[in-house]
Amino acid sequence: MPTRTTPKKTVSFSDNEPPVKEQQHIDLEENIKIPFSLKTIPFHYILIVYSILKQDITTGNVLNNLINNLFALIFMQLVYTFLFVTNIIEITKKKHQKRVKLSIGKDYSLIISSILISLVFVLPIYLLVVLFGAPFTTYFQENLILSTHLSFLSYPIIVSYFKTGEKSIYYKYLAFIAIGAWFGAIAIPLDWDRDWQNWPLPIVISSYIGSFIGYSIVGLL
Amino acid sequence: MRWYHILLLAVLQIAGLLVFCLGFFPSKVVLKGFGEFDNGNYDPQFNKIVFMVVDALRSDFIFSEDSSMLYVQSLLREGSALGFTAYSNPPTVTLPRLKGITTGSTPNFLDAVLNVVEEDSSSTLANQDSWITQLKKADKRIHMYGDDTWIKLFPSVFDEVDGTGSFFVSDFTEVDNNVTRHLDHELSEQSWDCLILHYLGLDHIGHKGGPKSIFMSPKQREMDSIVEKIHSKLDDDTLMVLLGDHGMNDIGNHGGSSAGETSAGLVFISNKLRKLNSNAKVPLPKNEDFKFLTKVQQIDLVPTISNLLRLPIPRNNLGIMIKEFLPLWSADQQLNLMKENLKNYENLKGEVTNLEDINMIYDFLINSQSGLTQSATNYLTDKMLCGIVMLIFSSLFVLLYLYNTVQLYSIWFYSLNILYGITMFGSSFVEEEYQIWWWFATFFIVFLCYGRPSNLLYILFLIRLVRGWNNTGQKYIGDTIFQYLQEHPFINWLLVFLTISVYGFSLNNGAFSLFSPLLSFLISFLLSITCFTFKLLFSLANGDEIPKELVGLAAFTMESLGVDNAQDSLIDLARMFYYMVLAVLVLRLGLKFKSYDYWFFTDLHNLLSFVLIFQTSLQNIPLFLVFLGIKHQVGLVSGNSMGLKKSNRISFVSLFCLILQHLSFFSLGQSNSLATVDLSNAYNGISGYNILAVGVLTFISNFSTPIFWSFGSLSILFENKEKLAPIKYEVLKTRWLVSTSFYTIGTTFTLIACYALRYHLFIWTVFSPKLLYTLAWNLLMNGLVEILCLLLTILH
Repeated sequence: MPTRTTPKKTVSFSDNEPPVKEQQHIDLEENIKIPFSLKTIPFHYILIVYSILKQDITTGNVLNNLINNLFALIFMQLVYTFLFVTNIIEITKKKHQKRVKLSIGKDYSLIISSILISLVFVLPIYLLVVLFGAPFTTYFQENLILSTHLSFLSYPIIVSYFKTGEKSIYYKYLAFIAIGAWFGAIAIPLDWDRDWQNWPLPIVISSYIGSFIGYSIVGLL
Repeated sequence: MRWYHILLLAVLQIAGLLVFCLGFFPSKVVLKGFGEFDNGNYDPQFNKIVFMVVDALRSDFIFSEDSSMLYVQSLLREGSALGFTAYSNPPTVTLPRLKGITTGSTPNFLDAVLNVVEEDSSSTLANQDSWITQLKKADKRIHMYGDDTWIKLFPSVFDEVDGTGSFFVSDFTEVDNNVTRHLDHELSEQSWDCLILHYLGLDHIGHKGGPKSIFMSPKQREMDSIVEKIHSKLDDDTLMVLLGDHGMNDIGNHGGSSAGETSAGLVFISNKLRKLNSNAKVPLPKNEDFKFLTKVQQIDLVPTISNLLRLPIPRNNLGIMIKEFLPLWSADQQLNLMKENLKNYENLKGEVTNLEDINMIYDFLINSQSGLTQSATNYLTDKMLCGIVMLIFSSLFVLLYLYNTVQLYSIWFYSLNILYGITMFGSSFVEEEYQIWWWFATFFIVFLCYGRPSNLLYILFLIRLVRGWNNTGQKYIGDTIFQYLQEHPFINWLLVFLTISVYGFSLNNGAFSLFSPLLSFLISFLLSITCFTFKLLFSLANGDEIPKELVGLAAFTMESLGVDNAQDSLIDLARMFYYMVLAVLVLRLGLKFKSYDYWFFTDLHNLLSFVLIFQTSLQNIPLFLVFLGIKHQVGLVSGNSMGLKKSNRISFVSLFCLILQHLSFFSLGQSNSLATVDLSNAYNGISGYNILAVGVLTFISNFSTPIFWSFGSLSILFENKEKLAPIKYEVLKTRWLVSTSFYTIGTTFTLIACYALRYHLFIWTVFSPKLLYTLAWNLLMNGLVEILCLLLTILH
């Protein structure tokens, strides 16, 4: 008996609109895979958060602290990027799976230009940070350094983007960083008057935690 | 869900809240009548008294090393003065404290509320016993200069009086000079038996700059020199009392129960006191708990004064005669005098002891005092629990109904409500509720504008302006747009002009233009110009700077109204404006019946916006311009957010308007503290004191932005791309469910927080005001305003 082709069930999200056709996208999407790997858990984020909190975080010294740790972050991100990018699996048209390669010899310009791009992104991120409620007239330098941290937290994503092209999976990483930063704001009203509440530490720390979770578990999602 | 379910839920919710409040704010039982002597067999030590209150004079301002009151300290050292640290019962606000100082009873929280409602007569002490009334009954002459709270407490008791208002906090010198200028002739003539002076300057400095303000030391020196001036003119039979009614905390505010706020200074000054040989070793090193010398209850002052002047002790007094003064009398007189205090306690407790020994009397009094002061703030836990249970029931029902309406999406609503509820347990979250709403708002905007980045950025920008308008919290206080506009009146007036004209144009484009373009123009023009002119004359009357371009308009208006100064024109203008609004409203409703359906809600919303603008302070008016942009954008986004079911779309718009209501409430400069209630626009168009009218205007001016968004959601929902009018009751039900789920769950958590934290340090400063605000939001916003929305929708 010939198998009858059952019409594919579509989920309607709207009462009066025809269902949005999503089939066309499928070919474009999902030609890369980022598997979960212990190698790509960014333990250095924890290290940097620890280092930030261990150093002087009293009012007035936050800025220097964050600048010092920014250099640490950039350096460690460079190393981590190799781990992260080489973990990505590209699926070729013939359904072959192969790992993306990244070598200093060939990709030095990509790595350096991604640093520059991260720096360029600081400004739009700064604007976003202000739009999401950071002080505008005061704490300019603090906000700038916060944006730089946020920008370099997404550095592996920028490199991967240029290496493999635009993939929707990368937005998930960015979303984790953003949600992390957003969550940190809940600590602002607390009247505990601890040093770690100095602006912008709660946001910096929570975005590290957010991106730690993001880089660790997006492979599982 | 039937309509009577809704009604039942609403009634249950309001009733639960009211029952809780009855238990939380128990009204105090006050004994009627006046105290009388038991035997009175003792001699007066003094026959005159100078009672000098320095508002917020904390103990360390007198006794510590940092104090500049050197003369008082020298008196304390040589024994002509006796100093104490007086514990003032919270709420540490002037009105309840003055009640405590004069009657000797502990106040209840409602007094703190009445401190705000200036022209309230229920707070008067005319029929309550106090040492002031006892003096009056003994035919003594009382003169009073200073804070007019005294006049409110004791109407027509003082023989000579000059009151100063206490709500203009920015004035440090004038308030005090108003008192001091009477001193010279009062001290030379001495035609009084009791002279009350109440200095406010020190408190104002605290509110403005905190206890370490650079003005603090000069002010203390000024007070010190006044003490010196008075003391040098007094004979030995006149007692002088110098005291603070309460203290202040580290940032100079008061109202709560921290050590700084409750530790007031208290000094008795007279040369006769040298007999007591108390040579205090002042100045003393600063300490954290503000305890210097002997610590007494502030209400102990009352029987002490009564005994020193030989007056009957006031009926409701809970104070105990300060022991240090007893050696002034002979041993048998001491016993007689303590029996007076004992009898006063026996009356209150309703038991007879017949104690004959001074030490035993003291033991008895001290034991009873703590019990009696506590019973004055006893919570009725049964009622509180009963209220909580009612609220829990109604929130469970609402949750169930909400789930049936929006299914899985209800998880968003639940988590928002519960998250909000949990923050009610943190005193700092209550104080900084603004931040919580901002936190919700940013998340929700991203969610609502998913996939529409340009709308997202635009709404974020606008709402960031709203957030930056004012700052009510204590954290990261930065520059605000409010401040900027205060410093740049020209830009402010330009924006006000723009705002009013935009609303005028919007009104001009409504249904009136379909009916008659000329009439439409006339209506919009007249409303706009009246509103603008009123605002102009209002600031002129308040002595604010106005741009010179507008002087002509002000002059023309005053000339045509035939008045000399701006103040006189305000009432006429305000009434004219309100009559006009009323007429336009009637006209619009009339057109409705002639089936001009076009822009029904938008027209009414524009008209309402005029009223709200009218009732808003000048710097906040341009907020409404920003709101118009947000409203437009929300309309665009919600009209196009396909991929969502209709009921979900409605509920998201409602939720967003709810978030905006709260966010914009705080952006007006409001907070969960009674200190930010704004009364400046409560008297527009009112000549006498009319409690209903003032109440309505106070509500409108303090809740203007929440009202805007409450009605605004109607025009967003009904006058958008999609025609929702045929299912208007469905829409209304969804909208109501969303807001009610928030109010019931939020209120339930607030009540549980108030119950669980009822012995918390901040219960009077943070949680009780929050409860009052919750009451206002429930009754007025979720009750009254929603009913009005319902009526309008029925008309539609």
